[in-house]
Amino acid sequence: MPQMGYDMLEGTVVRWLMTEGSEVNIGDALAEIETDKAVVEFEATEPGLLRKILVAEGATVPVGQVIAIVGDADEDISALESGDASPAPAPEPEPAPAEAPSEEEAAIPLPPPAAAADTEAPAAGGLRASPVARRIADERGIDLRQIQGTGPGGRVTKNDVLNFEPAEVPSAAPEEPAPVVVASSEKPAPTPVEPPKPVVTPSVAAQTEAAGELVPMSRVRQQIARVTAKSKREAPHFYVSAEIDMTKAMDLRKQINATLESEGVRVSVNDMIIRACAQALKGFPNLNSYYTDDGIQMNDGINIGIAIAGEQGLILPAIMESGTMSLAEIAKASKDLVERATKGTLHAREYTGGTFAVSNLGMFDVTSFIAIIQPPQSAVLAVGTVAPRPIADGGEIKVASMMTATISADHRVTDGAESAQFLVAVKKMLEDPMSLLV
Amino acid sequence: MGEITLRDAVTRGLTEALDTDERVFLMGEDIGSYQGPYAVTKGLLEKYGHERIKDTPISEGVVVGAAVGAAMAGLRPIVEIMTINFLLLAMDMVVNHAAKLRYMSNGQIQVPMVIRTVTGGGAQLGATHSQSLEGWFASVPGLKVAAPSDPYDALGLLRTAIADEDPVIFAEHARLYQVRGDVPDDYYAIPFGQAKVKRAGDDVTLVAYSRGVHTALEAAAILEKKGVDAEVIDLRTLRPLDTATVLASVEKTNRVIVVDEAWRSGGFGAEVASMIQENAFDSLDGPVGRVAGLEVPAPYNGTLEASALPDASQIVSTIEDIFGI
Amino acid sequence: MDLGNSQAVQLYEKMLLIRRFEEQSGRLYMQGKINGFLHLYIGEEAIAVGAISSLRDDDYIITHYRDHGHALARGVHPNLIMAELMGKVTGTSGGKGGSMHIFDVSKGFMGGHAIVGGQMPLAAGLALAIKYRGEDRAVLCVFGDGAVNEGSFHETMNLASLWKLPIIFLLENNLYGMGTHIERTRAGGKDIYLNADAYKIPAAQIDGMDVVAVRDSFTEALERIRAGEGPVFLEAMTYRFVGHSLQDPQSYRESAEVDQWRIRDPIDTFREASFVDGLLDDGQITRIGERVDAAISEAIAFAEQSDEPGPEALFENVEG
Repeated sequence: MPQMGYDMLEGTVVRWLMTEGSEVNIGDALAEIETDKAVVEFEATEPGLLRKILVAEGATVPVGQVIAIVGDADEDISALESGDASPAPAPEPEPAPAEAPSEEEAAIPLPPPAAAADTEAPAAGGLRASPVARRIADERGIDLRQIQGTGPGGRVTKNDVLNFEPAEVPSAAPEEPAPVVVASSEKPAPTPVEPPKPVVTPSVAAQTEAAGELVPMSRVRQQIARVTAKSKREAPHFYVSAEIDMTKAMDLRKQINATLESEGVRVSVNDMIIRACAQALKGFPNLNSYYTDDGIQMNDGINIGIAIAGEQGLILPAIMESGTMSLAEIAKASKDLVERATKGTLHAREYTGGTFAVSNLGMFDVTSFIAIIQPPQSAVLAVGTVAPRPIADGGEIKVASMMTATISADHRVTDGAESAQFLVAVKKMLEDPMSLLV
Repeated sequence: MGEITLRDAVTRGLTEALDTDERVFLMGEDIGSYQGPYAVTKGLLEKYGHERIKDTPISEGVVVGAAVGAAMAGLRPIVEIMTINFLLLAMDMVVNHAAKLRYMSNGQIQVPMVIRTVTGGGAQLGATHSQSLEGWFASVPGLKVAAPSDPYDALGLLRTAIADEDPVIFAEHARLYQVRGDVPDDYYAIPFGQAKVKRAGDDVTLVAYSRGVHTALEAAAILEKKGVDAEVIDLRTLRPLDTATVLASVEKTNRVIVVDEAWRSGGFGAEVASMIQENAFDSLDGPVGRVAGLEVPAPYNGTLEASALPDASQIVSTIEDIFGI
Repeated sequence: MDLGNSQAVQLYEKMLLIRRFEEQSGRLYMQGKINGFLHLYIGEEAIAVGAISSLRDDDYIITHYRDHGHALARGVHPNLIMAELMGKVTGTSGGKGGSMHIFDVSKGFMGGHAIVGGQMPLAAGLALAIKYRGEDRAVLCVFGDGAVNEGSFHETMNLASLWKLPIIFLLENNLYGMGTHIERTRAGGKDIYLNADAYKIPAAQIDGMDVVAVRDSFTEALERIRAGEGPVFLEAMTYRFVGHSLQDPQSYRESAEVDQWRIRDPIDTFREASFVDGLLDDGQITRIGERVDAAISEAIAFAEQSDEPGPEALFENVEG
């Protein structure tokens, strides 16, 4: 199972696009894989024959598990077919949660969406989690399978559990305040003796009598919750805003669209902003990088992600190599991206490859907002609506088409001054829009 | 007194005991006229005379055995065995006699004696002179094993060892005699079975003793630069073992590496690791890591020998491998 | 014999006490009331009694694992020894030492020790303490012929002579180290006392079946030792009439050899000689026999009625 996102834990084979025995070239789409976020095509990375499909359509398996074997016609693949690289067990279409709970789980009902069977299974093919991670997860009623392990071999560690924002909030406040408070300082607080609350109980239910309906989260919603929370926790965000006079840009856009109408191309304000950012980033590589423990990882290409609000939630696919595209090309690419996002046919690299992002809520008539950085990126530009506003122009008040842009940046890789300079560069390009065409 | 070497701290402890307790005498090979193989007993013969500073034949069995006998008769002998490797020649006296007499006599006999010996490798002394065998003795009920890492502990633990009513193996690391540190003039003693948190930290616990403490501290400095906050625990005594301090730290950090210069197989580090997983399993964020001596006799060649001993980079990489931090 | 009547009574009674104690111990072992190892001293009684009767109360005794005889000769109460053999809480070590490890520090009885030759360096230490304190006490160090090829024997002999330690080395040469004859284990065979010359220790071979001879040799040796002239080495030739331990099938020796030695039974020969010399009469002999039997019966009863050590004893006295 290919990893199609840095925090992807498992994937579902939706459909095999090739049959056993087919010739496979690098880049050929082998299968459609459903991740937490979208259905993406899995492209071959090695040429050969598709010798064996090991995971049936509909089956969900962890990242890293062998799902098919591509090789030479006469290659011995018997070792791959069995043993350590054994295929996933026969697909069980979403087993009911309480069907086969392990002993430990028996008293703790699990949230409905999760498959229950292998939580406590040993490492071989099962979930790897450290003892303390298991303990804390158990205490908090967290289903470990919802957590992407960051430890060696994908082991779920303590921090993974502590940082996890559960899909359904477990019963946070114990109804009886108790043994914890009087615990001796020498020993860890004893586990409360009362049976753990079912995790499906929302936290508000524990606090108020009038509990409303509990709405299960979609996988996309869960993913957004996890990623944004993690980003806000780990990346120290700071924000720089600028007012941008879009009067000239709006005029230019009209002209361009009139010219390109015959080609079926329509440039949006957002495309212009993307173009401006792509150009400006060339002078500010730090904003096109990301933080790692070992150093700041610079990105060779500029791939600007755009926030697309789907029915289930937000996704952020990237226009690959936006840095080399003309405004018209960006316009075409963004249109294509939105269409394919709607159809769920994004490529994995589009999903993971963003190096910077633009989030635009202009259609909602909001002045400004602040966006959360999507790791592994280090900045996102949030733009509000373009609206006529009075401005001071050389001592006179006049009305211009104004837009507020706010960059959120990761302080681990950049500082306020640099981000401000970047934002000014974007502003200048948008205020002198001919530069977007060269 | 201020800053002194570990060697001076031991000498001070011996001198003090000779001055204050008539029952104390020293026995060992070349401790008198030669002034001590590691110069710990330098000047003592001139000050205390042959009756109390006894040069012995190279005859470890009877030297240790005679100390046991003298202790049975109420004296408080302090024996120096030049290196822990030679203590093997007296293994029968230590394990079958010193460690057993109190129990076999149901308390009629006490064996209040100290065996000071030099442990550890890293000085290119070859396979028979470079071993860290204190862990072997630490597995024997009836013995106590102390292994100081700095001058303060050396003096404080030696005072306790000499005052103790049981046989104590006092393992001084050959490479630590020059280590300097503050030692107060005022009297203090360090009880056995009390580990010391040498450096507090939240992310990972490094458990060590003797020279391993220095290796662990070195690793902690490297880890700090990587944003990993290591806690370093100096066990100070292997038996009795302060399990509480170790476990409290593991409860806090959830990650632990045991550092041991001795061989990995059956080394004392293995005992500590086992103790941790038995008592703190549900607090662990990964397996208990071990950084120990490689499973070879110590080679003479300096580069080879160094590669067989634990160093800070091994600790750091072990943490990376096990915990991904 | 140069002996008074009361001395003859004491020597005879001690030897007989040891003999009867050992015989009863063997029976109790067969009944499963004594377990583990049991090494009997039968045949060698004259040595313990002759040697120890010559010591002062403040002298130390340290010995090997065939130690009941030495403990009884020293006056350790038979009740306490028997209780120890049965593993009872009233035993000399509360049941935690066993047959091979009888201790009574109040009587200077510093233990039976079960590693062959292991007690010898300890004896050097006891003697060193005496010398360190400037006292004129002595250490009786008992060992068997099996010990003389151990390094500890040679190391101790060297140190004792070098430092002029007040030790009387008493070699009980019963000719067999477990089941192997001394002629097959030692270059030079049985005359081990000659070894002492290498360490410049005065030595003699004496008749271990003759209690008076042992006693006289000891008296002389102790004078030298108390004078600070250093150790003395005595090799007492003897024979154990029974196996090495209760497990011993005695396949290594002819019964004729045992019979020959039994003719020289130290207790029979002493009783007969004393009778002839008028030191013991029939009445005394009978009364001694009755007293000994009563003491043994009492010891067995005491031991059998004593409690087993409780679980709390397990961890007691591991360390102080």
